[in-house]
Amino acid sequence: MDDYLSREYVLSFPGQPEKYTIISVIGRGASTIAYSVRNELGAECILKEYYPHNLTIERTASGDLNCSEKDLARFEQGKNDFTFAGNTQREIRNNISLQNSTPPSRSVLKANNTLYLEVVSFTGMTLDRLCDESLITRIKLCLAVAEMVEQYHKSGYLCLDIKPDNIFVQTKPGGKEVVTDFVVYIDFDSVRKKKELSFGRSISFTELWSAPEQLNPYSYKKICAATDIYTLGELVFWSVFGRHSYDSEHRDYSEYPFDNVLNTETREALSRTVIQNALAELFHSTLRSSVRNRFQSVDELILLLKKLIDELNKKEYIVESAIRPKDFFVGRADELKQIDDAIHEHSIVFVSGIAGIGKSELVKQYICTHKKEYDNILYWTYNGNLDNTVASEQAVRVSGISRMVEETDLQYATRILAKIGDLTKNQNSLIVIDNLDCLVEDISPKEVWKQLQSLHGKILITTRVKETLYKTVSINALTNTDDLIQLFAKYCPFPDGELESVHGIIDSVESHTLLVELLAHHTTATHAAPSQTLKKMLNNGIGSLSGESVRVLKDGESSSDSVYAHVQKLFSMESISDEHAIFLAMLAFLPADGVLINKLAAFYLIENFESLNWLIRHGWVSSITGKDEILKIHPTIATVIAEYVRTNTALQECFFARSYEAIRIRKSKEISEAEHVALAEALALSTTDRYVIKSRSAAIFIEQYVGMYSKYGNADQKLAQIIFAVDALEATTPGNKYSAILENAYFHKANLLWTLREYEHSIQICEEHLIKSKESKDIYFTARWYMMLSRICHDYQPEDEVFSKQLKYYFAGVRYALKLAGDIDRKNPRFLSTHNLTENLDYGYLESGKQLFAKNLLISMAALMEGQSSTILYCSKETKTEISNLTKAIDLREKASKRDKDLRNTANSHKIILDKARIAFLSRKYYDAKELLQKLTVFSSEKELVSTPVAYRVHQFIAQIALRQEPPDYQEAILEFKTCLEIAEDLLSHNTYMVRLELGYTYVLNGELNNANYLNMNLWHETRLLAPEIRKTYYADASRNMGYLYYAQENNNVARNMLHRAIDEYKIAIAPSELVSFGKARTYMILAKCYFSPNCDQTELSLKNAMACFNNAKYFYENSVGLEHPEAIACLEQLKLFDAHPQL
Amino acid sequence: MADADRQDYNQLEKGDSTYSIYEGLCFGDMFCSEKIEFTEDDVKAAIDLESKPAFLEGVAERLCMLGINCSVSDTKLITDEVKRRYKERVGEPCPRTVIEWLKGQKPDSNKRNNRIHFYKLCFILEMNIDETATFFMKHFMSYPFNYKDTTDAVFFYCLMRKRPYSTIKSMLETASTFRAAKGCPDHTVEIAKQICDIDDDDSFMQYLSDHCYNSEQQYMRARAAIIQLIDAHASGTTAELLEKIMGFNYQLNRNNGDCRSDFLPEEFTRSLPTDQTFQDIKEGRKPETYETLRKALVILSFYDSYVTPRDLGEELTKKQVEDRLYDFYEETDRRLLDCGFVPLYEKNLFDKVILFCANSMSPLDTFYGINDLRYIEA
Repeated sequence: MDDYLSREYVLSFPGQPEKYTIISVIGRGASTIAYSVRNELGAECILKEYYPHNLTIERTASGDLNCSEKDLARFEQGKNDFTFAGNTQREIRNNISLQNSTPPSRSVLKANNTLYLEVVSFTGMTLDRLCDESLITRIKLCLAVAEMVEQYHKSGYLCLDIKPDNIFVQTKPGGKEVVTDFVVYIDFDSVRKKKELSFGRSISFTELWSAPEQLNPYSYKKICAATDIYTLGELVFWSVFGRHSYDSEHRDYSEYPFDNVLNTETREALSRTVIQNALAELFHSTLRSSVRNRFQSVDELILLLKKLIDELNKKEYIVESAIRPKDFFVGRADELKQIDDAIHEHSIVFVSGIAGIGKSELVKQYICTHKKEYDNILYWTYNGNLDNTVASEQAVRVSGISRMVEETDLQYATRILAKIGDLTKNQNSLIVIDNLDCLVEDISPKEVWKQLQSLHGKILITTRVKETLYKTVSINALTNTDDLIQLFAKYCPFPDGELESVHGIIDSVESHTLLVELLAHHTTATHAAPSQTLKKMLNNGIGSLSGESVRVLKDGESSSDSVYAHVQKLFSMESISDEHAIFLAMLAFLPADGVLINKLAAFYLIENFESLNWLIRHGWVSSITGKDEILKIHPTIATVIAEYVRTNTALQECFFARSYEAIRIRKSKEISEAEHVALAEALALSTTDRYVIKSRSAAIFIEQYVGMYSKYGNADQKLAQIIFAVDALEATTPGNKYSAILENAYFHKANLLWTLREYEHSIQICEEHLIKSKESKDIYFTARWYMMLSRICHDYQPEDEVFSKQLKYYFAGVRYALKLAGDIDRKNPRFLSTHNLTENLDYGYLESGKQLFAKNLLISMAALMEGQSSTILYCSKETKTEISNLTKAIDLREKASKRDKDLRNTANSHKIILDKARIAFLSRKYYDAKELLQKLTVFSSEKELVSTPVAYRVHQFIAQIALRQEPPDYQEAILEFKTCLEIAEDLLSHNTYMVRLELGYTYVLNGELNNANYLNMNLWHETRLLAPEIRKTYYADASRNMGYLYYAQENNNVARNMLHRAIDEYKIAIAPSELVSFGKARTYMILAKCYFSPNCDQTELSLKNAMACFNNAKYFYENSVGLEHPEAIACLEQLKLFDAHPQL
Repeated sequence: MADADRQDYNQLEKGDSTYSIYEGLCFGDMFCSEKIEFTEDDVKAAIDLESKPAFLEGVAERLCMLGINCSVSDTKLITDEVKRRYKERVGEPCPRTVIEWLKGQKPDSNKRNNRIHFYKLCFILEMNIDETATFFMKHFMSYPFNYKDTTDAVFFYCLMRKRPYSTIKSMLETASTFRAAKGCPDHTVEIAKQICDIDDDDSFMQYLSDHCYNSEQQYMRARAAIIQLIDAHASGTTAELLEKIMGFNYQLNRNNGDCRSDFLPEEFTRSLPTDQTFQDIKEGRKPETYETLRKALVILSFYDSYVTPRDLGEELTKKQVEDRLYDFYEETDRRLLDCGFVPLYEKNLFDKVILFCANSMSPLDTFYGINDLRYIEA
């Protein structure tokens, strides 16, 4: 039979009242089996059975243990030890200070020819069985263990076998959540007083958890409190990394793999220098082979753990980027010292030198050796301009703050730096800008540079430019040839006979680090000997650049022209294929700080990595491995590749076509929308700003990019980009020939000017090009220009006649659209014939989508009609007009696709249902509206379309219905809002402020003040930092919610302050007027309640204030949602009460 | 064995005996040494000291404690007394090897067969387990009680449990018939712990029968540890690794024949691992000697501890040097014990050189400097 007692086995003891029923086996030690049992009182507890596994023992059918004759003496000796442990437990229990962390113990009981001991009767489990706990929970448990050990030490005991299996953790009712401030030690075999230790007496220990002195029989005298401290350090290490420490991690200079942790949440927490430093200090003071190098008292460890927990508890913290220096670094000891000296004396230090000389690597080495001097390391790789650099997703981030897709680089950079400023004001930070390729006076935007300078810390900048205004440490070629030989040998081991050739290679490239490294890679990858490489180099002209020096200084600026020339020649020497060149171009055009390989693969849909691996082997691409692999290209190589792309037309077309495919649609869930947008933006910026590729294929790519991404980010930047594309297309379009592609670029330009409210300029472009399109008989663009004009005129109202102008344009647009719609159904279309489009109108890539033109036009017309109805407020002061517009929109949508009349799997069909629901809602037929939406929800879940933008809107809509119906169902609204947030999370969408603000407001309405407090406070902090264009009414709404919350908490003074702040914010909010008015109306309503509340003195002044507020609220309701809105009705009722008030 | 602690051995009072002269003359104060250069004079002094009769000093000192007044020069008196004690206490004639030692020949602590003579000599000189351990280290220049070895295990058990010689003899005879067991635990510390737990002769013999190791098994763990360290640092061939560790190209210098082996004491140079040793260990070929394996493990451990690229440009404080030295000491001891070797022992010249290097500002450079002394042109 099995060697453990079976389930339901009843264990009783002759002459004793105790009785235990076995539930399960929960663990095995060297000499015991632990069972989960139920005792005679029905309580669950743990029972230990003496069962030494190193002896030959059998269990009989009745449960008795039979020990073999040869091991009998040791078996009996072990029983004495077991009894000793039981007695120790009782003795410790009697010691008052340990009662909490020592389970109550009964006597050792005899049965089955062995011994039993009940050890603990709580609900919970041993620490080793916990899984999926957060880092902070694990560290809190380590603190609880340390505090328990401290109690043992204070009472004169050493634990000596601390390990997760011996730590019992209690769980809260329900069994899922663990109690973190209290643990119980359950193994007393090794608990000893120091004086009880002697050479001959063995103590149980577990090798992987034990300090070295426990493993050395001659070192028993060294066993002391620091022995347990070593194990506590190991416990923390195990809790953080999920494995045991290695010997190489037991030294004062040991580094730890913080960025290799698999769990994303843990890795993010561990990215913080302050956490890394605290943990490194902890490990350096516990996990040391020598007792004297460890903390001598658990107090010190407890302090450090508490500090760590305080840091981990912070909701807002900086998520630093992982800095991964190369594992091989030679020489530069003097330069490292110079940097260190300079940084102690100056607040801004530049490290300058020519491209590829090793500046970045040197700075990374500096960081690694001086990390513990700083609380934060903020490392950015310069991307061409500072806002884009700071906004890079791969660089520094702040927890809880994500970039919203509509946020510009500047807005996000400003917001994130403001937050970083807040978080680091009492700390010492090292701010690094790597590869700044301009002088400080040319840094753009200036405000970001100023913000960076205002951060508390030192700034270290690597640059190729010679900066004279600041302290600069100049880096030259390595002077010690041995260092370079070592570098060469690192990537290309060579026999002694080849030493002279290696010297030759190094001399040829004038000891240039990057070139030496590339040549070593080349030699290895081509299986050549250094002498062969040297010969090849000379044949290819490397090293014979007409006597040019690799280092040339001109006008105070380091020029690296000949370095580029060398790299170019090496590029040719390598016979790099077009496929390789395209991969290099991808990396050269994507962010300079590198791209995660999985993101690159998801973005470009790469399935075959052979070319990439070839480039890594040959040293052209660096693969930096941590938890995730980052691919990166050296800036010098990137510049050479960009030049290659500029001059090779075929390669250029291929690269931009592939890039267009990449940005056209997000094809993989591996990459979020924001990440996808960021990569697309990097490609566009590199084309227009970094490398300035002004060719036709580049221009078409930019035009496509701007067209697709106009709603994201910085409109000014996009306008500059489309102007760039227009110029390039004008330059490459012969004469005055009509070109639809060029017209499309102008269309995007007009569109952006409209977005930027430069209406007159936008109208001018539209009208000029409307004439051109009519002259060229381009029906499609004629319709588009008309529709664009009608949209602009909707917003731009300088004169009274504009409305009629809008209508004129609108109807003309519809007329042309309908012409196109008719043309689609014709057998031989007149306007949409391929011949017409390509030969006469130069439609190029636009031609491929011609069948969709009319349909898209109808849909965009429908969207125009829907736009007249407020999607934000779900209500209108002009209900009849809205219903009419929505009815027209439905007609247009059904015309665009007759099949979409029935619910099917298309966005158009879903939007028809939404429009119908909105009509029902506006007609106060809430039940009908809800039924339609639920029909859509059911359909979506059947098709597994749960997390879609439409679904988000549907649930938001249902929540609004729940709030509007009589009586309101707040609970349902809350659930629906939460569903929206779940969908947003699936969609990786960051802008959920509308829904969260509504949820925060509904929490207050529903009396869930704790939830309301948490959510609204977070929202208030988050929205405060948003740029005004992004902030819209969010901050004002958040302030209003906070005011409402304080009102609900009967804290009227604070509430009033907050509500006045909200009103001030509404006044400056950049948002549609009806949204601002509605916000103000709600705020005045609450403010009025504050003045009129039963718990405040109703003086004449307060009543007058209240009445003024109600009147204001009425005014703003009237200007936003109309007086038939339920909230407006409530306001009017209050005003009636005032009319009858005796005091007024 | 209550006082058998390493710390105590380290703190033995200094006198005129050879071991303390080694310490004072050659290497200065072991820990916290300001001295970071190892000069040719130091080496010469060390070589001179190798001829000093450390073993005889120990025997004479012990006999004095037993009431026989003698000094190192009283060879005959010492020999007669030892012979008498052999006859009286173990009922056997004094072996020829021991007589040769008493006549002045230096005992070779690396010969496995000598260990039984060491133990018997300690026994006839009435030493307890602590004194035996001390004598091993001070006068045999070796560490006692390799628990994986049956002879060592029998003496350890019998000295600890104060058994008479008849028991030792009978146990050794029985143990010689044991065949190597397979699949038993190979953790040295675990074995020591289990032997310590046994208080019954039959149980002990049963345990020994179940846990008898042949030399191949004994060093299996050592080989695994060496391979692990080689793999952690080898980026090229084993010859290149050895060059990185020793600071010289072994092959090149050996073939050039410009090695002056007399510049460094034999105790240091003997059995130093070569690239071939590393290769053999990696490829599972039969290892050379106990000493070679142990030295390989020590120098690899030394290299592993001190190849610290991040210290570039950093000047270490005296305390840092000291802290690292202690860590290295403990870590290497643990590795050695784990593999069935004697721990680092400052009286052993090889260990002492390594510890001297570890105690300097730049341990690897110091080690390279010492190795360079081997290759000074004649």
